[in-house]
Amino acid sequence: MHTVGGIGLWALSLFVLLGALPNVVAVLQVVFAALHRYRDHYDKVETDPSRLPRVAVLVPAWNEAAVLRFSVDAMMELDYPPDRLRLVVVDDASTDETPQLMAEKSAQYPGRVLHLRREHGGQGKAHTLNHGLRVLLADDWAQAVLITDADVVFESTAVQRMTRHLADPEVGAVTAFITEASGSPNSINRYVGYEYVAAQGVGRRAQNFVRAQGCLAGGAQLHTRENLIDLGGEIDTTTLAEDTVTTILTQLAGRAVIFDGNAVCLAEEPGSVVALWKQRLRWSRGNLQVARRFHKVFFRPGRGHRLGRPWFGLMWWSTLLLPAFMILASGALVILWLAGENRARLLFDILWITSALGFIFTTTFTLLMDRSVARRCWREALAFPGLISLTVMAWVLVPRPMHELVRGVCRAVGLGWNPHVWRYLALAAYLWVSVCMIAAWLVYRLDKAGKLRRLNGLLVFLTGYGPLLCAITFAAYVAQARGAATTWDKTEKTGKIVRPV
Amino acid sequence: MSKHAAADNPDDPVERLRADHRREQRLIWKGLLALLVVVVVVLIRYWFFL
Repeated sequence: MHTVGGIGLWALSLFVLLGALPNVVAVLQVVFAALHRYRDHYDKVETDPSRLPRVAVLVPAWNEAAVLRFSVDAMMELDYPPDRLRLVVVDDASTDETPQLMAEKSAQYPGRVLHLRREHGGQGKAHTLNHGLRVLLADDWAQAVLITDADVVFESTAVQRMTRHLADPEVGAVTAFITEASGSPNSINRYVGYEYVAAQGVGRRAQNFVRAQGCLAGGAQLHTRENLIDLGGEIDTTTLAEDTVTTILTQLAGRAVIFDGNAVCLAEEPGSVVALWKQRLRWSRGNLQVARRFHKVFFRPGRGHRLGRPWFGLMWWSTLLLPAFMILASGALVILWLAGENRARLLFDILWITSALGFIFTTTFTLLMDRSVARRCWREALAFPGLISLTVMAWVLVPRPMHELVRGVCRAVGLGWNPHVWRYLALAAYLWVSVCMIAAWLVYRLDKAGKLRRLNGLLVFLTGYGPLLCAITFAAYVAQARGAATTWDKTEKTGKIVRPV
Repeated sequence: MSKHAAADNPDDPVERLRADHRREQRLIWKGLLALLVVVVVVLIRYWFFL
């Protein structure tokens, strides 16, 4: 058995403790979200409907007839002055019945629904949006542009709730809360539903609190005309995260980006592991591209924006580097275990007690924040880390009963019981910190191969949705390191949103 | 529209703003409640299971 020297010991300890950093940041986000009232933007909004800006809603569409059929009507029924709202659908050379449908809708809503057709498309969402922006900015009708997706349905007051913030001349863009609203949702839909409350409802309120927003939701980004013109009249086409680039450029130009969590939109999100993997891989790769492009912005205070403040940097990097932290922590624990260091158990306890308490705190707050999502997704919220990780949390939180339970199980299955069993279980738990990502990747591979699809929900429940997201981020590291092609993969939408009644 | 949804989305923009204000104000209490749950878990751990 080898011993670990002084500096090595401290370095390994630091690696394990770094694994707890994302949890600490998640707890801080909840604290900031809870205190959001003291830094929200509601004291600078416009409440007179006659002074609301003229808004052009820009929708890129490629073979979206199934969802446009009802989302166009929903947009026309919004609680917004009809003479101040136009819908512009940019049809990216669709091959389905989108052109015929849009011709019908343009006739049904004359002057309010416009159809722009690109005969040669396929360049991706950003190029499609830029085509629409060029047309919209060519005349001075639009005072603001709301960029959304074909499948997104806004609650009746959502656009008013967003545009009221534009009364403040310092605001460049506003985003809303997008909630997963698939009709008969499966477990993946419900995991996404809960995740969105945690990531947007909590995360973006926290970013409002520190006055630095990481990303305008791609399906609900409202820009002032001036902001779009300052951005060059077009959005970024070089990365997979054009909405994040727009968000950062807006703030670097000295304009505020506001999240209004009470402006709600409904969207249909992926319902399978494969579809989720495809969507999130694109997002994660986009975030890595953005991090590389704006690396000089983080942790360097700048004039006119707060993106360089430590809290924003911590929030951004703790998410992006989570898989790396997990691998480092796991590797360090295993080395300490091999070296026979008692310190491994102590550090493991610190890491997992932090995780367990952080999980209880953030989950309780998130479920309390949105009761309708809580009613729908509470099981997925509790199962978010996966059954195996929950067992490890129980092990560190209540060690004595868990010890008795594990001993009973080992005896019942014929493994017997001796101190070595306990020791090897500890090693398995140390390894699980990173092996959970491999397990999640295997669930994805099984789904992709079309095998054990009926058991997918159970497998995700065992390995965890959180580890699945981490595995996707790690896959993004690999894709970026390999220089994989930057292609736009459209997420399939079927129009199964349940509209508010 | 359900009674709950109607309370959340009043027709009057001023009332709507007040409702949004109140919702943000309630987050403070929700945060304290979440903290209380954590404190209870920690107390249970130390009193009963160690």
